[in-house]
Amino acid sequence: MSQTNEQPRIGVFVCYCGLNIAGTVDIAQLMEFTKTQPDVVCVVENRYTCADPGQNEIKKAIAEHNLNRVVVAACSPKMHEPTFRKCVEEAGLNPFLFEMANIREMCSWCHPGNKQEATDKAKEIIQISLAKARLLAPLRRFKVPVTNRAMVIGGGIAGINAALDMANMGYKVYLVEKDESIGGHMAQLDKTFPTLDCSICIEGPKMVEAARNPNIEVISFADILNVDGFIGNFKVRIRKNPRYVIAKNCTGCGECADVCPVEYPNQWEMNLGTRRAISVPFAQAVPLIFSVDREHCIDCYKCVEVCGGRSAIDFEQKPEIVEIEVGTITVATGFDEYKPLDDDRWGYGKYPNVVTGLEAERLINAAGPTGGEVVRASDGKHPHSVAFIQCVGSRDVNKYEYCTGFCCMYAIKEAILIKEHEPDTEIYILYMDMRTNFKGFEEFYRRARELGVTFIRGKAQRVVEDKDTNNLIIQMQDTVLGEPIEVEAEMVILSTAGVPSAGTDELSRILHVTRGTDGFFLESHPKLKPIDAPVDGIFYAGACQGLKDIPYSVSQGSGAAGRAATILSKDIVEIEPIVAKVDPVKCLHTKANCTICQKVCPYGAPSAPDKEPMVINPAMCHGCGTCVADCPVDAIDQMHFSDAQIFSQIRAALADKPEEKIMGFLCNWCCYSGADLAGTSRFSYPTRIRVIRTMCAGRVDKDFVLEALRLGAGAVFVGACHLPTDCHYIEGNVWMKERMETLQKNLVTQGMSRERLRIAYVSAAEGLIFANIMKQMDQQLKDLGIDKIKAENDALRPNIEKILGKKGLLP
Amino acid sequence: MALNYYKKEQNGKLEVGQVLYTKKFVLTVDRELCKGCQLCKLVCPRGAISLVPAQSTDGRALPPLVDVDESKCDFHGICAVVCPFSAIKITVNGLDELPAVQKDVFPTLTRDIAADNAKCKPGCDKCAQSCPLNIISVDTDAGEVDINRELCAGCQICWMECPEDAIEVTKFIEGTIKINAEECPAGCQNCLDVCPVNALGLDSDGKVFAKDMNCIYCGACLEVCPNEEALKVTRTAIRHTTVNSGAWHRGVEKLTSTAGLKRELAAENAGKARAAVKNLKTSEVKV
Repeated sequence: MSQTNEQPRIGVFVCYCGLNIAGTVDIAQLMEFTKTQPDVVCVVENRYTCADPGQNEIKKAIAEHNLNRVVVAACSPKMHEPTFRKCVEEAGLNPFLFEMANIREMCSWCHPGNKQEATDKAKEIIQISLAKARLLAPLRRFKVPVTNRAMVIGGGIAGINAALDMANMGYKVYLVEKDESIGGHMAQLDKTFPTLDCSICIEGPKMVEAARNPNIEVISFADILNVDGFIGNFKVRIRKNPRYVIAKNCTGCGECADVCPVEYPNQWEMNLGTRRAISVPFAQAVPLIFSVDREHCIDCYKCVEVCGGRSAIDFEQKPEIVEIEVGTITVATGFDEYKPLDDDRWGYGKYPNVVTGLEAERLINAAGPTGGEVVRASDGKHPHSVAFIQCVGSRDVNKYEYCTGFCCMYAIKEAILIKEHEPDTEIYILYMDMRTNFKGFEEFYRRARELGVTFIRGKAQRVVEDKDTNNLIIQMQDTVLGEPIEVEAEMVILSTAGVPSAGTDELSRILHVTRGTDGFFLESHPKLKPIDAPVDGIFYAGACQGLKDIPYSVSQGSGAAGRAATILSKDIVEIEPIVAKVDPVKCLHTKANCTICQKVCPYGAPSAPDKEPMVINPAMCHGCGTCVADCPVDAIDQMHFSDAQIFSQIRAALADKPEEKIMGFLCNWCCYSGADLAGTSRFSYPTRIRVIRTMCAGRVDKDFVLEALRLGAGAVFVGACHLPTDCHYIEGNVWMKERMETLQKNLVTQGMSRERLRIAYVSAAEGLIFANIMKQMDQQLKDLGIDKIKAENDALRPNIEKILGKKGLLP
Repeated sequence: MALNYYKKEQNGKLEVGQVLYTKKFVLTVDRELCKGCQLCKLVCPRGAISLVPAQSTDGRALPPLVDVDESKCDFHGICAVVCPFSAIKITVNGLDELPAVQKDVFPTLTRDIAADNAKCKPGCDKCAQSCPLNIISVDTDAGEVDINRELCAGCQICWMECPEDAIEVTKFIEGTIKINAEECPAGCQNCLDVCPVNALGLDSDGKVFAKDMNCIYCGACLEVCPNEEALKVTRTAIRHTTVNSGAWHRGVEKLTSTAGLKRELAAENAGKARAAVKNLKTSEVKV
């Protein structure tokens, strides 16, 4: 596999794809044309190139013609690039010496009405691919060793399950928890829906199992300070916060708490009750180690005295920093309950008898502060009527747009439990829609109705208190009756939204993983990689990725363990070599202390000591190419998406009738997929666009646009993922926007019509939008007219030539 | 649940509280009993108590007003324990019993005042007349003296005034008071205005002097004195029931001095307290 400096010997394989391509594109014409192209030594047609016979043809041709480059003109690379890479590799060719010409999704499927134009476009698509193919270089995937240990951040039920599964597969797991005990929200619940299992009875043994498993080290009461490294090789710095109790000496007897004179609100009990200054948050805490809250402790040392010879209490304890190396990280940081203190409609925090769902859970729980008595805060009496208000904060465009998902079910559950405790209690559930769409949920809903729980459909608008009785009057619009009604209840339970847990923002920065607009962690792909973070080697489990109930969290915990095991089970992992590389001679960091690449890189890949050229750690580089585009002296290039390759693609695309064409730069993940979808969905649009795929819109250099205009392009289109958080590389689209909008302003002042540089954000789901943009741009170019375009380009050209000439980018 | 604190001023009392679902903590300061001395402020480990200067209308100094930050207060009540005038009360769920006192963390002050009615002469009520806190009443016909011991600050004026030597009072705070009259700003008698037990007087030159015998070392005067060189009050010992608690020792240290704490610990009956200090790893005090 040498093939680098040899004269290119390219084989082109043109696929009929049945009639998918051949029905629109004239294959015979395409074959004849391709044979005339420089460096092409063989052209083969196939009915289905991806099938075994087609692949065998490729292998045969590689051997027969001693091919050193292969181009397959067929479907989208997103469909079959991996297939053909593997095929050429099997034939002894480096897999990166393969290039795909997308003449199906981006040609035959979207231009069915105009066979000749489609055929002409297909020819040029092949030319663009050939241009890149000539400059392809063999690349080797990076091999990095894997640390066969795992970390789970967050010890709720999802994290516990992920940790247990990995431990039982034989991997060492560090289970890091910020609170004093693992268990998460599930430990706070009384019963679980729809089976009414006792929550702590089923979770408690899991908590203990996790703590006792010899492969699991529970690090509780700790914070993640910093994470460095990459897949297989993460270095995590953790601060173990001082408990002022020596873990190995503490027997968990609790005598210290008995003598402690200080009480303060117990956050774990939703501040309904108190805990002592030395205590555990709840009796079943794991690990069962007491801790001293020094903020409230008055240093009476009664605990020290009673602890006596066990000597477990140490007021001198300091925070301890530990560094742990792991191969994968599973994030399972869960959610917090929204406290509607900022919304006075609900009277929360104002009227004593208004509580949230989780607070009600603690009241129902026999281990809770009231010993399982559901009583009113105002008078300590059992309420004769209880009203649940659903969707407080959720499904509210002014607060949280999403559906929290589990409130319908827990409201039903709490209603049934209250009925069990006090059968005479009148219960109203005021709902917008009841969502009971999983196993056993609908039956549970029916059971509540049979028990006499009253469901009232409508949107609650306000809660007011009767000053004399402390009863609450809920004003609402009954959507069944179609008129406003008032419901009086002695107690109100607000089913409030779940929100990302405190610290999610900080953790997303530490891990370089993205959050969605809802604030929860964003998965790598919503359908096919729902557990993977965009950063390789990091996975999500449970509600941190989006709200979910217990069985779903448990499943995802196991799923995350399985995903992590695909890495942990190997000694080495391979990393795609499409990374950026710095030319140390050109790098400005040596003299000007330029750190632009560091600024734009969301992964911290570039680094260098003072006055030395930057070095990009290939294992940390994700290959977006943003630094390549933003490097002011073109000192950085990207493997497989090099400046030279892209320049030659632009020149091939605009060789003929450039004024009629749109030069398109589409990011691999969103816009390119959106354009593919336009084809798949058969949204037809004019043939003007010639597409160059980059991994990220952040890769699109100003010079590319200038070169396209210098060559006379009718328009340039840059397509990216939606702002602000859709970018696969966190913020490549943001840097592209900044760069391109500046350029656009510049070009417009130099006389270019604004619409000739179009910046658009198209998701992988927006095929129709892509097609519409294409139609719109077609019309705009028609309106401008070729003469005006030519005149504008002529006016721009001297300046562009000056800029590109200085950089030596002119041919 | 949202943390629910409140503060209100009513019926001559400042009330702060924290209401949880199952617990209600309330601290009240009786404005009439409170003399604006500094002891509660000094001992509060949470820094929750402050003194707000009072605005005088007649030119005579007024003692400052106690203010409590309800969000800082933890209601363990060392303030209530040390208040010489018993002006502070803390209740938990309505019960007037401090867990910290029950658990032997804080002591109670030893208020030794006793009247021997046998010695009393009918018709004499000099003790009641002289008491600056009005806590003594006398049935002059029967010659019986009734003392509200809880409120006695130990100024000993009654004892001095009693012609029959029928009352005996022991101070529960020992200390010294010194006035350096030369440092006093001209015409200033703020200390004298606010002294709750009339332990300061004016001499014929119009200069303030201290009656060490009657001073209870509460420090109310210090709070209003404009020149810290003019007035020195030091507390050397506190008389209280014995307790075994780092928190109290710290309190004693704040009220008196490290030397004062050492003296307390060296006392013969302080075995329990000395044991506590052995556990008190972070204190500078060594036994």
